[in-house]
Amino acid sequence: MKRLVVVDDNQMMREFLRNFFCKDYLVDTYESAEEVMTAIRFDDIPHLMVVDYELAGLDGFELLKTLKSSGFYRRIPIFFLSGKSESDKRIACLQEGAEDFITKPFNPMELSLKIKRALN
Amino acid sequence: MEKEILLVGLEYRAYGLSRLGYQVFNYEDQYEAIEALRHRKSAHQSMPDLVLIRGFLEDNNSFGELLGWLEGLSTKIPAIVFDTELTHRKSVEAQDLGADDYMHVDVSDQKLYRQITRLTDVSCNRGLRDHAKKYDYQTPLWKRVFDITLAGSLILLLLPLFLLIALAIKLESKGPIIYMQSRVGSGYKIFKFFKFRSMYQQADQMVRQLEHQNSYSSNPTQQPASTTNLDASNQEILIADDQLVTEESHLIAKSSRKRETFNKFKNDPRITKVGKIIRNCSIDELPQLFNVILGDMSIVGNRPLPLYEAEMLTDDKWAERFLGPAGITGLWQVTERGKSNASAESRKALDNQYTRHFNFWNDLKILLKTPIAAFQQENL
Repeated sequence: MKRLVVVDDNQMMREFLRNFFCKDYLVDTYESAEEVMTAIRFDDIPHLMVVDYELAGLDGFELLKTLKSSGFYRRIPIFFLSGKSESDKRIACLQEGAEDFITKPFNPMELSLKIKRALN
Repeated sequence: MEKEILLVGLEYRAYGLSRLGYQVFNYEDQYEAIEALRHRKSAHQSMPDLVLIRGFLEDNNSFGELLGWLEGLSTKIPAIVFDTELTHRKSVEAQDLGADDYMHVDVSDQKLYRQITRLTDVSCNRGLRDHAKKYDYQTPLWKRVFDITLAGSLILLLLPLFLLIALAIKLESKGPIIYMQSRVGSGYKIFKFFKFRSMYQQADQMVRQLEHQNSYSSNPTQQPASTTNLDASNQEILIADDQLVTEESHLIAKSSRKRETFNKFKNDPRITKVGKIIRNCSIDELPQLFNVILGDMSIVGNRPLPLYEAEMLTDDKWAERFLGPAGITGLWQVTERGKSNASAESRKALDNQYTRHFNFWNDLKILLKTPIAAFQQENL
């Protein structure tokens, strides 16, 4: 089973995503960029990440830049979820190498299909 | 305190790193580095905060022994392996040997700084994540037992009524007795939801034309017939060069025109005569007892929603409803139904509230209130 990492500061959203994806993937959820950056060192490299743009502390964009500059993690496809959809943020993330930038509310089936495609 | 970085075979990076404020020590190769570290250790001197090492010389790893030696220390010192060409095979090898990262030798100081910060600033606390706790919503045993017992006996009891209704539906209009629709239930599971057909066939296509009659819409008089056209013109505005529209105002305009999540129509012409009767006393919902038996949903829970309604609720505020059980009747039905001015907002809030507080006694209360709510003349 492929490993999926979810980073979102909203607990309900974390549970929702875990609940939705746990049938097809091994899902680890984290609350902040700092937390995932620490934890990621001790685990196998995840196959894909779903990251909330608006995180407390370091935001999703900072996390993206950090991961993309790492030799171990730069190949991980990263999907952004965001409560707001300002085009400059969206474009900046895509430019920096994000796989997609999806606005909440979103269709989980759609995200699931995009994830499946990115993993193949 | 100034951080100490040990460079092995990477002397040319020393200048950049010291400019970033690190204290840098240089060594030729891993053996020289091990020697120096051994000396430091025996003299009880401080250890470096990070090791950066030139990794593969002529394809053979030149860091395994150093990393092995570092592993033996009581406090872990993170290490980054550098290479002239990044390949997947070597990345895996570096990871297997215990490296914390693998980077190109010519990576910019700025990117390197990011990784150094990541590896040295963050405390090595592993217990932070929501550990493999099972969040998958599973029906508690008491609820399942309750569901099967009640649904089973109700089906047996109501069988004559079911047959009568089936006959009436068949006689009045063409089409199947049972209407099936994909609905989103607990955990966003999609299943076929059963109802007695109360509308003429092809009723679903009429939804769009009737949108302006939506009784839930906060501002019905201002709703033009077609929302799709409006969205299209909105997009044009955003693209048009000569018009200055801020994205914020665009988003506000768009969201105010967004369809309200719960569609209900007043005086719906799609409904058959039999349909009107069975809807008014909610008998059309009874085939969902079979959904209960199949395990798709519970008797008490949040109403399973059509796909287009469900996808509007997957945000931070409302996704919680999907974490609770789905049901035929629920908190919203017994609290707000029948009030034709019920707001979509209050319904969503009640759904979240149910998810948080459902238990046997609350379920029983909702169930006992259901017959009253079901027979309310509401003409919705």
